[in-house]
Amino acid sequence: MIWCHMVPFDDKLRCRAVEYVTGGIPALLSSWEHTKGLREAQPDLAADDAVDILAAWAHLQRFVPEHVPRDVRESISTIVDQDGALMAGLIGEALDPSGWLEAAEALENATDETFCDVPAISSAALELFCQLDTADLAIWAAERLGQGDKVSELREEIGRCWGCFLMMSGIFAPAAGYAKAMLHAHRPDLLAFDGELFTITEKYTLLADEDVLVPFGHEEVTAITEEQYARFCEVLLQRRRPIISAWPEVRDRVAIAAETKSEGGMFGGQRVEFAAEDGSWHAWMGIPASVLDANELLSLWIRDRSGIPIGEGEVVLYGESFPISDGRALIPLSELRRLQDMQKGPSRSDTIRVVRNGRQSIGKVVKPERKHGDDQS
Amino acid sequence: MGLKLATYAGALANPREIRVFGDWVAACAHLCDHVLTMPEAAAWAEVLGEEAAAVILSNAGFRLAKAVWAEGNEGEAAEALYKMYSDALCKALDSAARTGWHWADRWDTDAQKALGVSGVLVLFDAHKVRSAMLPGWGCPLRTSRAKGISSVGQRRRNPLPRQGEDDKEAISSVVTGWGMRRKPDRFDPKAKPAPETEALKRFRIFRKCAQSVRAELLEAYYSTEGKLDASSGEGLRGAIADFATWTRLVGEG
Repeated sequence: MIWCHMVPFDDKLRCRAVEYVTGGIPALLSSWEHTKGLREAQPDLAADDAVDILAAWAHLQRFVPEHVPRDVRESISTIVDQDGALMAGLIGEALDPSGWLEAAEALENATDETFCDVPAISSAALELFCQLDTADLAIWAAERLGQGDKVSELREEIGRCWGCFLMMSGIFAPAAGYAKAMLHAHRPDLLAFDGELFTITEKYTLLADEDVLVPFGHEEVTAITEEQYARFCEVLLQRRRPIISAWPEVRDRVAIAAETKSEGGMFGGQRVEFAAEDGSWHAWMGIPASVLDANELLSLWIRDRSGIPIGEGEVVLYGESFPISDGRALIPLSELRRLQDMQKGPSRSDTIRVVRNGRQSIGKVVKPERKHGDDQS
Repeated sequence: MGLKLATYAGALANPREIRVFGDWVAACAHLCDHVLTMPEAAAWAEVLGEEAAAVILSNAGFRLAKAVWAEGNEGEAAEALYKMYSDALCKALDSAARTGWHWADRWDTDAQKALGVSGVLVLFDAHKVRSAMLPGWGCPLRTSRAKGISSVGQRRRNPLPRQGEDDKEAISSVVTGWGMRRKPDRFDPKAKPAPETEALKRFRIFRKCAQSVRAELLEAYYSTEGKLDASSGEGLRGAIADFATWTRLVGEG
């Protein structure tokens, strides 16, 4: 027991990360014993297992061999040697890169200030990061087993996901802790061991860098200026250059994504601000240019004259009232009758009422305040 | 009369029995947002069995979601499905007590989480079940949609806020996953898969739930510099049960 307390945290973390991968292997192999024979009747079950087994086998290659229990390493290697070709032929059945791209886009929208469901965003970021890694690993395993022709199309499609990951890696930042934990377990000579495996593993390093690169919490995303965003992209691309050059299809994707952003995709939305006539509060909301599904929510942020979030109260906008909690009111888009008008630009006649402790104050649309980092000229 | 709430009085109830959700509104909101919302609904259909699947994977699911919020109903329309849901939750709590798969919640230290051998994850405190889900099967991004849709009036207008507009009513194919694993399956209510296939499907649900929980625990372990070590589901650290062990554990329940 005393020994346990003396083990450095880094070593414990390495053990945990290896255990995370090895712990799932007996369950996978026992499932494959059955689903392999059912691949005609239940191809989805067999294909799912094939992807997970190939990915787990590939994942083990990232670790120092001595850190992986021998029985686990041998049991999965035996099955992969035996059924690897069959598995490689099945993985296309289980993976849907376009579904991943759609989900990543939804995550980007959710990370915008209009949403702040932190546990949901964290879960989604982690799940999508793991899904991309699993697909990469399964494809790498198939190629390593000499079955590259069975996954060549899929590899191209995954390249599009990589492009998206590179351009929007900030949205995966909630998974940075998982990535850092895993990095503790990776072999230091991975590049010399296998360049391709090193390349697909680089996304862990990129993600681990994210919390350094992203200087703003998502609450304040709309306060970033274009100039700041350009600087951020420059740093990001510098760090990603080696990986982009290794994946030509990713380079093309990045170019397309950069063009889209410069055409205003990211900055086409509106920031609408309101101020109380008596100066007692200030409120603002970001309205995205697209992404308008009636089920989505806008956050209206409300601060008092000292900049402190208004804890409780009620806000009335266009005749509808919404509760204020912790400085924010959530407003379903479906409730906003004048949304289209607001998107075209705020009007001076738009008013807002805030009710606190039974007292009501009226505010009007104001010109957006300068934010830290805005152009001062 | 309204929905009659179930209680759990097993080994994880501390100090006394806990209600399966605080009130009928919370119970029905969770039924709608997890059991009746795709893609998680497809997995719930497997976990809850044939009778529930017939409701969940058909237009009847949407009709039920509308009915539970109707004026004067107070969730009574959901009685049968709620019974199956609450039974599954109580079984999950019991099996977690046996396997040791329960731990303090990272976000709220007054709450605990428990993972059942079915894959059902239950979030609960000393008084009530707060939430229950099949982790890794629902699309977390859809949970944002239900934020702010909290009043009965809002639910009346939008009974399944997490469901996409396009798949609210007719469910001719079932989306069984999301992201990279989004694969639509044709749903045939008359199809009777072999018992072994059914067991393998349920095992897959459990396996994915367990791995999803383990990824979050690893992330939490790193982010808290190991502080969650003592209470973070030690039983889930090692190997996930293989098919034979899992079958035995399910049999014990």
